[in-house]
Amino acid sequence: MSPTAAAHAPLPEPAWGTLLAVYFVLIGLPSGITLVSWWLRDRQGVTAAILVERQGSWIAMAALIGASILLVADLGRPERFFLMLTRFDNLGSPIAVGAKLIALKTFLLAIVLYAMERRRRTAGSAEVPAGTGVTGVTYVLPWLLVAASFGLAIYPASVLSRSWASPLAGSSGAALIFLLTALLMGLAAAILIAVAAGGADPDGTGRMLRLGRRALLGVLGLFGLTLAFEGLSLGGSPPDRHLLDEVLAEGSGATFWGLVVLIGIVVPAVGLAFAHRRRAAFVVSAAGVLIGAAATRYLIFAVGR
Amino acid sequence: MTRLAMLIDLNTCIGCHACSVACKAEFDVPLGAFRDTVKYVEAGSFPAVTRHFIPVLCNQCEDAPCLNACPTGAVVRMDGGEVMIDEGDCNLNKFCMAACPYGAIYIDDDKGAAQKCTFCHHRTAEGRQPACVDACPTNCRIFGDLDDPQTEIAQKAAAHETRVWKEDQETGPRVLYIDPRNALSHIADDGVQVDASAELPGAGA
Repeated sequence: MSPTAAAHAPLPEPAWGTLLAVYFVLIGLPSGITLVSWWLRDRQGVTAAILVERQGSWIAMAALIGASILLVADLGRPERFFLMLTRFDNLGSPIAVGAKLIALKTFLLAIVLYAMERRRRTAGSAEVPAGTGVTGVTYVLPWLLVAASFGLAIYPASVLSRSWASPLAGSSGAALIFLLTALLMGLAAAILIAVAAGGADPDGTGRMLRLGRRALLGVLGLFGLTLAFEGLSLGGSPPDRHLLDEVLAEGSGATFWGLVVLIGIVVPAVGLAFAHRRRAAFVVSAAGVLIGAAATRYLIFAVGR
Repeated sequence: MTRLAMLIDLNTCIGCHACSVACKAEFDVPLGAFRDTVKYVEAGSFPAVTRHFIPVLCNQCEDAPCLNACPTGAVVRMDGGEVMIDEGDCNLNKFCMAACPYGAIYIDDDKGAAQKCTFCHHRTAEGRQPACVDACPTNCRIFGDLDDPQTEIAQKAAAHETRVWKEDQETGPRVLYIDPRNALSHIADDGVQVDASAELPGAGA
């Protein structure tokens, strides 16, 4: 699909404003944390991954609840939010699917958190490996959680591509960019959690940071490539080129070059590549990645309106 | 099967806004919002200048983006093909507004729901004409069943070349235009709702 809707602005003001812009940015964080935690839990010898999974799950839960509050607050009739969950007559609506996915993920995450805290209490506040006491349910739950998280990571593209106000969301790379920014947010959060807990388990944290550094550099590279090819795909028709100009030069140029490219890609890449023996470099790089990923998601929402 | 539609002859519209006023009165449409209005468009350069009057309203699309987008099933299609909003099921998530390429949907704060033209379903169900059609002094609007060859709209549509607004959106509009001067191309990027941001405070009162 080509984002040719850029020329169409049938309403004086777009229907969706700041609250939903923040929502579409924030909803990437819980998805990324869950996907990264799932990936980390099977890494041999990375003991800090257990801490990342537990604390990350709490952060993901908080972000999910925050995103849900934003979604409800944006409704003109918030008291009727339940209709998004109870009505199944239009599953062709990505918002209907997304709302149900959020509810499902919140439910699954609550069960996983309960199980983790219960195991931890039983072990006397020690971090318990995720595989401990695995049953059929505890085996299936993480997979369901990953599936819901993957869906939530890319569903903003399907919502926004249906709106004339966010033409970039209909471009060829939008879903991939939403997925990669969610993963970047998850990796950055994992690194920040590991750095914050560094004193308790220096060896485990060191291994976690080395793994996180390699993963973050890899995903940053993929992210840069995706942005480059997205730019190439937008170089076709005049409406698409107008969108590209808006991203690169006009109203959003400073956001793209400053927040996405410089702070979101260049600073973290340099920090992780050349200053990785310093904890501060990890913190600055992770913070930069969070800012860059958030700015990218915002641009897909806002450019063209 | 009934396929209700409206045919608007731009040759005979005089831009009097009788349709807009009748619609406002019929539905108590709030200030600043429109179910139906008339666009004034100047085209050409002096001395070959002309002004087009183009009535616009919800196109009751056969492949309606608003209906496909609504997450609560509040946007429904009636037997005649009219697309309507069930106020009881609307929670004002505004996805219909974000999806509609015609800007035909607005928020009615008093009713607490999204609203738009219904082809005056409450009137047509009683065999009456929509309020805008009744009010038009030049009969530039014809309403009826497009699939019934005996109706005036079917005969006039067959006798003239008709166009639809924003044909590139491929939504299958049920509002057809006789537009020999290509007026619709001038509002290809426009919508039903009017940008009143440049007006002085109180100007709309």
